[in-house]
Amino acid sequence: MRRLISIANLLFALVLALAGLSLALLLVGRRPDTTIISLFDAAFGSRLGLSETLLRTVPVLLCALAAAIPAQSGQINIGGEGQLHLGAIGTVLALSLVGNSGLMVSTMVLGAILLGGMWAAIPGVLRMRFGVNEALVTLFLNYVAISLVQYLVHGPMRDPASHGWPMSEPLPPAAILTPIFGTRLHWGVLLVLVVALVIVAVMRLTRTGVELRTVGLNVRTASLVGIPVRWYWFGSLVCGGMLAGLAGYYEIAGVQHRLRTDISLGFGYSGFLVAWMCRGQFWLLFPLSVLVSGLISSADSLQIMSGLPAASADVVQGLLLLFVLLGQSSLAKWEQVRAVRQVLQRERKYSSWN
Amino acid sequence: MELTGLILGSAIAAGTPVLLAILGEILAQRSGIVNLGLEGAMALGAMTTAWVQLATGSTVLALIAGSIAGALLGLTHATLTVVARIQVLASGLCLFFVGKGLAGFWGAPIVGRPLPGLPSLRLTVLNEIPFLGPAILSQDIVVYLAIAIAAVMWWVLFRTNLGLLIQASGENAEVARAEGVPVVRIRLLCVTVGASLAGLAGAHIVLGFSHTWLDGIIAGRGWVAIGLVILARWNPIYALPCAYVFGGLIAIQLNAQAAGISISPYLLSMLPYIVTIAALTAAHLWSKRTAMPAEVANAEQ
Repeated sequence: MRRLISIANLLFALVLALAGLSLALLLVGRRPDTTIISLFDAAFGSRLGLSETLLRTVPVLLCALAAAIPAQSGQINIGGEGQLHLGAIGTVLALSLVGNSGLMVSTMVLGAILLGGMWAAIPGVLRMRFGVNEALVTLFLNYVAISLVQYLVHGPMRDPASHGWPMSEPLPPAAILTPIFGTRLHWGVLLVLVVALVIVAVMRLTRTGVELRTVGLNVRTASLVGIPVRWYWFGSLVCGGMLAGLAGYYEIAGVQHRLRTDISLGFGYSGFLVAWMCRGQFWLLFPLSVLVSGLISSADSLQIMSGLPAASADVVQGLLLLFVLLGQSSLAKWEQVRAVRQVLQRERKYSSWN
Repeated sequence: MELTGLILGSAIAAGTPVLLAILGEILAQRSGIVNLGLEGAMALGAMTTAWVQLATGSTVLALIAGSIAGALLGLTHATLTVVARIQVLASGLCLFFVGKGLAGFWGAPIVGRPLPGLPSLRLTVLNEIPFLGPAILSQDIVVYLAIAIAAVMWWVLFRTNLGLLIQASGENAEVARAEGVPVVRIRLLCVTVGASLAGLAGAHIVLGFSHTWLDGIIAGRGWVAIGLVILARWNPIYALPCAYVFGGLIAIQLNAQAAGISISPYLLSMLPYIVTIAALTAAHLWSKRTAMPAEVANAEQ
């Protein structure tokens, strides 16, 4: 029942968000019906479109987990974008350390996870030791990370053969993830699904998951029963950073094949929005990630083909979260009202007995 | 000396949008509502200002339109949190994305179009100060306006009846309501006016600084402002040094070549964020006693 309600809420919010987009489209003199249909057609209507959508789902789902895990312990991680960039740097760094060898792929993954985790460890330590607001620090570090990638590809990591373009050397063929189904899609999609399922299982079934949620629900209770609250804050942030770092690896090894300044289409932010729409209901992450990735990839391609601003995906995502939250809060209010009514009815019954 | 003047002058110019944003957030938080949508309000304000400037050619109209655009987003945040009772942090984050998205969406046709700058006003008396006078004190009108707003806000918050009502709503809304303070109206007012200042901040970024609209031009200044509120201890007067030091970091980056600094501009552009993180940490280290309004502290837990 609860699942049905949240799906209904989600669909309702989607309709409202698309209505919002229609208003925005009308204001710039575009026909909303055909634009929205072509938006969905580009994302899900063809084999190519669907494969591009699934390709974007990899980073979005990982970044959604990167925000959803810390959110369980009450930590706000808006730093998926920066952690993804650091993961990308880590991938390229690790490759340059080991060179073309048998350990190459595992070192690259390790490098991405390490650097992504390290980037999230900064707000983690500041939160744990000094109580600095982690939402702000993770956000600031996004801007630092993007500048860091720009610095690296303009300077130390620039490919001498790139004729001055800001990009690193291309990966050796053995480091590139093999495409499947004759599209740009790579095996990462399936691996990510496995990673995500494992994490959901850990959250649902293990003691760690329960303790993490306890911390998020009530810090005082958690510390009273002896849960190391601060370590959970730190650990969940670092876990999130590692997953976003892994997204950076997939973008390098599966899509871009070298480090460039445009490795992310705002995946970190989209992942954050997806995570907040789910509000701890992990199974919702999967369909929502696909939906949001579809919006990103079709807005990206329609921008080139029909001049629709890529920001239309941002508008829909923002409005979607807004209406999901509105729906949740009105549902909560309705349940409160119902509970109060029931109590009052019972009281009336008792008083008629007397 | 000339270079020092130049950097100080551009520090004040670059710090002004941040100052306005800090002031807006101080007002909202003093009434008990955190507005994480500040960056979105700035983006929307900046885009609207650029549009109106291009369409009408009137700078005054453009500045007003920018403030109104920010205010509308603020009013939405206030309505969602105070009336519809959505969680404050979630609503703010949401409006950050909505504001940024709408600004990018509507602003797409005018990306990169050149805008006229704001004329600089020379204050004749202060201009006589040797060396620094001409460089620092030939700023545009919004710079002076921002300083005036800081002074007025301090006076309103700490010396008037309205200020007491605002602070009461921010410290304990339930008690304030029981004592007859119109908490809902106070909060609607503070968040809306605060966000209109953020809109004006965005307007100053495009008209006084970049002279063009680009998606992502706010570049985190709104978030920095939210961080600097903590450093300014929720006091409009302390907001001045905080904002100008941050502006100085941007100024160093812009004038690095003139000053003969040969560090990569990409590394220098990290500086403002790293310094803000360090300053926030230092603030938490040194002062255990925070000036944070109690209602804000509750919302963050």
